[in-house]
Amino acid sequence: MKKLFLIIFTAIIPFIAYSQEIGKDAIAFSGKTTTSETISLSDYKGKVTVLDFWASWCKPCKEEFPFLIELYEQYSEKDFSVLTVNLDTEFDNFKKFIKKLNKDVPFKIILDPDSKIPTLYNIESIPSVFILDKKGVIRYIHIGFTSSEKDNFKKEIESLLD
Amino acid sequence: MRYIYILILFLVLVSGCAVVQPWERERLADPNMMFDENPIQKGIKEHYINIREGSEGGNGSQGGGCGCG
Amino acid sequence: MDRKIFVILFLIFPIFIFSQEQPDNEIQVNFNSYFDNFRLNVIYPSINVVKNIDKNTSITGSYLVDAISSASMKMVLRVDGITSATSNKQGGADNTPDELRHQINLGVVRNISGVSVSADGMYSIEHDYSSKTFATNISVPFAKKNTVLQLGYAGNWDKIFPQNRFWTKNRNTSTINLGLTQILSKKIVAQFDFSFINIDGYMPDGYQVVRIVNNYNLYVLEPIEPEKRIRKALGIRTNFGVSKLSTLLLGYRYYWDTWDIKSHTMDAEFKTHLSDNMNVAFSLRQYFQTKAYFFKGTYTEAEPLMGVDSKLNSGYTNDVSINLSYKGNKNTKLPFLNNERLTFLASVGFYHRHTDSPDWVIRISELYAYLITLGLKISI
Repeated sequence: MKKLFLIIFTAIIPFIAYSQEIGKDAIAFSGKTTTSETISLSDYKGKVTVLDFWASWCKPCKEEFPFLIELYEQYSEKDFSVLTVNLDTEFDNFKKFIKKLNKDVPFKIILDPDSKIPTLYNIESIPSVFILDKKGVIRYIHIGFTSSEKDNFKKEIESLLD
Repeated sequence: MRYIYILILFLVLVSGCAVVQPWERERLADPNMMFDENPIQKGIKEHYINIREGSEGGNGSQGGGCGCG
Repeated sequence: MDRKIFVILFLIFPIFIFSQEQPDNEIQVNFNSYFDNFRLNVIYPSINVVKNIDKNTSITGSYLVDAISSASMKMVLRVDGITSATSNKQGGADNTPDELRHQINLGVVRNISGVSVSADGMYSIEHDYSSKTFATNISVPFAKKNTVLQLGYAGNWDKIFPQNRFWTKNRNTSTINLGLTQILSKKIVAQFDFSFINIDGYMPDGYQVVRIVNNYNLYVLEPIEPEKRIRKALGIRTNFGVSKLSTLLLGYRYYWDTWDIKSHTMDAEFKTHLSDNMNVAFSLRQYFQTKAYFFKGTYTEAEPLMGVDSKLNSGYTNDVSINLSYKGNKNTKLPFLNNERLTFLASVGFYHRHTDSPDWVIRISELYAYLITLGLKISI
């Protein structure tokens, strides 16, 4: 019995370190956007929100970003929004990526070069996407991105909009 | 059974030793930081080397990079 | 006991929940060429395809036609290049060229909760040699992917049937590979690799012959090499991000085996971005090797073990190469170069091998070889 307890105890430590967050309230934060406006996550209560952590040097993040614009354009007329947190340490790299996109970004981007916000969420990889319901509860988490996930994303958002 | 304890301890220690956070891997994301970024080129080189030299192995596997997911 | 193991695995499971970046969907076509002073001139093409089936699965396939083969060694008195094969116009018993080797590979990689598992099969055939390979690999990330452990196994089953002999012989190889990739800092990543290779069966090249020369006689015999060989190698490589645009890779490998061959390999590679689309790499490799305990440069009488393969001789090699890649840029006015789905590759290498006694066929100690590769990657 002692042996079993020891096994469980030593094995559970990493489990606690990476506790699951689905079903929990998204941790509150605020930050400055590209237009120096200070916004908070709580500003998005009442809307289904896609919260994305990304950086311009991360390849799957770059592939995902145009899809986030597509999502916003498709669902923004319902109670939906997108909020992204950019983690580039060099602003020039961020600017270069946005310019290369050749598209207007219709949603807000918080700039977090000191990476204070991903620490709150214990981000394990980027891109990390948290889909929040209208009450600000985390309902879905996506780590990484491939184009085969697009339909899944849309189904999840639609299930929360209903 | 002893080896299972050692394995668990190793995993716990390793999981607690995150040296570089995912958002700090900008430099590591450079394709040049990957080992064997072009495995086909590596395979071609190893082929002509293996028919000329008496050694084999120990020359790595693909890896490195930013580990973005 | 089984329940305990289940509990352990269940509780540790969350550690493994990381996603892995998928490879790009692409086709790579290479035209590889090889020229050396042992009179071998070859151009051989290869094609490789990678396709993602879904978020967690990708498949790879490749085909190549290859003429660098140590299996196609012909009789000593009819030397024709490294293989000592006859000229292209004269083949083996069926009169078709013997130097051509066809190889096909198929593989699948699957991501299972962050753990990457792959399986590959390869089949290679030429007129006097066939080889089947099965390989599998598991790759497990830890600590937010700062550490990746890899364990691989490969089995090879080869058949050797030279066209001027009346036998068919087998050679079976098992390889176990352990790898550890560790991020050491924001700019440094290291990799440790250990290989264990066990070979049983017929070891010499099918066409090699041992010249027995004494005062009055010259006659030839087939080589006799041990039918077992265990090979081990331990390597370490480290990639340094030396500046914003450049990286430096330094590597060292120590090899040893049951034939008493020991070797040291040192290599360095400097890579730099010349622009957003162009990358260049300079590589240098040095290799030193001792000889197999039964190897001799010349034989004056028949012995229980006789090996003449230059690979088993003591010596050293120098290898330098330069690799260039250019990714299509839509702002360029030139056709093809403005296609962002294309990446052009070019590589030139120079290889020099010195053996401490002359090669058994060409009778010189210095081999000089040039390698040129042109390649094209197409994103699909």
